[in-house]
Amino acid sequence: MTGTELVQECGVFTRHISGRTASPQVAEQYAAAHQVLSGMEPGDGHERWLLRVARLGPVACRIADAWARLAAPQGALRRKLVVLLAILEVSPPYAEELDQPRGGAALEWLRIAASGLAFAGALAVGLVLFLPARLAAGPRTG
Amino acid sequence: MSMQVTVVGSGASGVHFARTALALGHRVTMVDVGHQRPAAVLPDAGFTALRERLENPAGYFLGSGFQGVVTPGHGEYYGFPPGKDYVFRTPPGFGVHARGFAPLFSFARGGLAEAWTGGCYPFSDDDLQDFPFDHAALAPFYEEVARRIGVTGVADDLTRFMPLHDGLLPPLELDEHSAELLAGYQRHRRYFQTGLGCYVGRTRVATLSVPLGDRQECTYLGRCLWGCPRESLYTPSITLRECLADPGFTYLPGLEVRQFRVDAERRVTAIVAASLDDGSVREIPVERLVLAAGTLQSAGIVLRSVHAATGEIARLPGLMDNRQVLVPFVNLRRVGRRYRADRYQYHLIGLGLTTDDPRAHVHGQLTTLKTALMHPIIQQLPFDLRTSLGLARAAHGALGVVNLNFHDTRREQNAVTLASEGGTLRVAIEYAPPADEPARLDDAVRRLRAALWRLGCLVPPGMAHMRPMGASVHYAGTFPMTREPGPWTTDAGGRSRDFPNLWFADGSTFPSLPAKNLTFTLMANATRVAHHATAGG
Repeated sequence: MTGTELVQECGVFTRHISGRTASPQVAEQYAAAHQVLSGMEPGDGHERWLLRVARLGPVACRIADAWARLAAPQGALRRKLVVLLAILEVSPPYAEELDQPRGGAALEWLRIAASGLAFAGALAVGLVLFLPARLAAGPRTG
Repeated sequence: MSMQVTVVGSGASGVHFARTALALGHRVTMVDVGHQRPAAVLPDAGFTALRERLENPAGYFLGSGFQGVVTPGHGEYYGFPPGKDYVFRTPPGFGVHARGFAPLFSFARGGLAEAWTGGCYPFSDDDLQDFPFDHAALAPFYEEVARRIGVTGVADDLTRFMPLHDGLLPPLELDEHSAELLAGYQRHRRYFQTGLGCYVGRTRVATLSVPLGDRQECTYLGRCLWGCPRESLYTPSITLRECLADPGFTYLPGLEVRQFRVDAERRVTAIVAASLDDGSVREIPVERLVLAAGTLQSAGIVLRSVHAATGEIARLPGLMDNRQVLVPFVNLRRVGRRYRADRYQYHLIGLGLTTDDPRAHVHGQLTTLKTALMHPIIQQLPFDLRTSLGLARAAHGALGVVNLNFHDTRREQNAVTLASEGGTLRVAIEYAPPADEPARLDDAVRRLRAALWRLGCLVPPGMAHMRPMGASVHYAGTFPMTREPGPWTTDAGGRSRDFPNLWFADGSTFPSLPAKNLTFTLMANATRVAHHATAGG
């Protein structure tokens, strides 16, 4: 991937994870991680398809991520997302927002319930979108 | 009479042996690879301030090679701090064959305990049943080491597993979550003890609650995981520094000891060491040799020496290590509550699970999560990362991990030997767990789940993680202390029965391994062995 493509990918994935835009420092670290970490390239057609969809935008990324957690937990998409999460959790100002609750216990339980519903929806769409490609690609690699 | 003693290795065993021998008036030469700890960054900054003030926080927390990132499939709940990479850096060309074992080696000044979490747990008489001495023989040395390094602790329900000794400092402050869990245990104490055989109390840790010598007390910067910048948490390099101030001490860093040479009477005459600078090989004459390089490396030195002298490839049976199981939990009562980062980050609470055989009791250390990186945990939740992150954020102040330790015994099939690889002889390790291990682990995890549930904590299904054998780095058992003489054994003073002027000061001599961090006992035993190794002419 070119540097520009990685920056674009980082932007979409950052909005998926944190809801914010990626800072230049985060994008730089994300690109640097791709230079040194292995397994950041798709291993088969199914992973390529997952990544292509994930790059479309935060909503598509959430759908692809929900499916990947189930079908390719160690594949390239999940690896990229986890690496980005690791960068975000140590990088101000994302770090503070990621590691402390935003409201009281009741509000957090409500958020958890809403988030669970969103996950269920994303997974349902993911099943429709990706299951055929998964079956076509044969045994899982991730 | 002053003697000259040569010590190989600067880990917990080596430095306490040396410190004792120096105090007894002897001269000590220590030969060591000696990788050095990097200087502390912004030593007075708390965790949050550090993150904000660093120019490249990702470089500090994840490493320039992103080695601190736990990628999917790794299975661990902690990313290893890049600032401690030096602890596990190996010399060029170093390698090992291992089957059923994932060994870790250290060539750092201070050894593996530069990366420990400070747990100090004396062995009880039950733990020492296979040793040729009892707790009373070791007790004075626990006290001596405790006075040197500073150990905090109190008498409580865990005393039944961990004998008390003098020199304990007042305990560290509990974080809010740990305090709630301990209070919950006090409310349900009878159920825990009679229903579950579970006892809970304060861990004993080598972290200063009050100043000791030139070391400062813990000020709760929240940086324990990344390396205490104030040296409140003891590491052996502190004792090495004290040794360096003694005129009787000579430190030879940058040398990897490969083997020793023996004469016709099997007396060790010299050690053979390779220079890390230029690869040249040096022979250093010795009068008395003390191996304190760690169980696996000490075994390698003996095995290569025997092979060089006789052509024989010996096999050292009885290698042991503590199996560890990580059990994460969520305290449902704390979900949505904020946590304070400026708290002590390692375990403050411990637990013991009784068993029919008192030697097989299970020991756990409970760590409430605060500043630990969360991505290793978040990725293992069964959701997309955004959902998982939302859950983790809400639950961050409610999360904890119990690290269960299981005992081990010497078994014939678990051995250290040598194997040839391209003409080079390398240490080879074989390990297989005992047949009853799955049942023991299941029983302990089941009881722990029940205990945590009573405290309002949920262990998410499928998230208990059995670490690979070797991960605890509590290696022992290759040259056991025995009452009866035998090949590849030592006497009660750690003296080799194969080489009359060779002593072992590390875990090699432990004839069994209770479910406890052995580091404090390594230090106490090395102190005890120093008295034996420097006695007589």
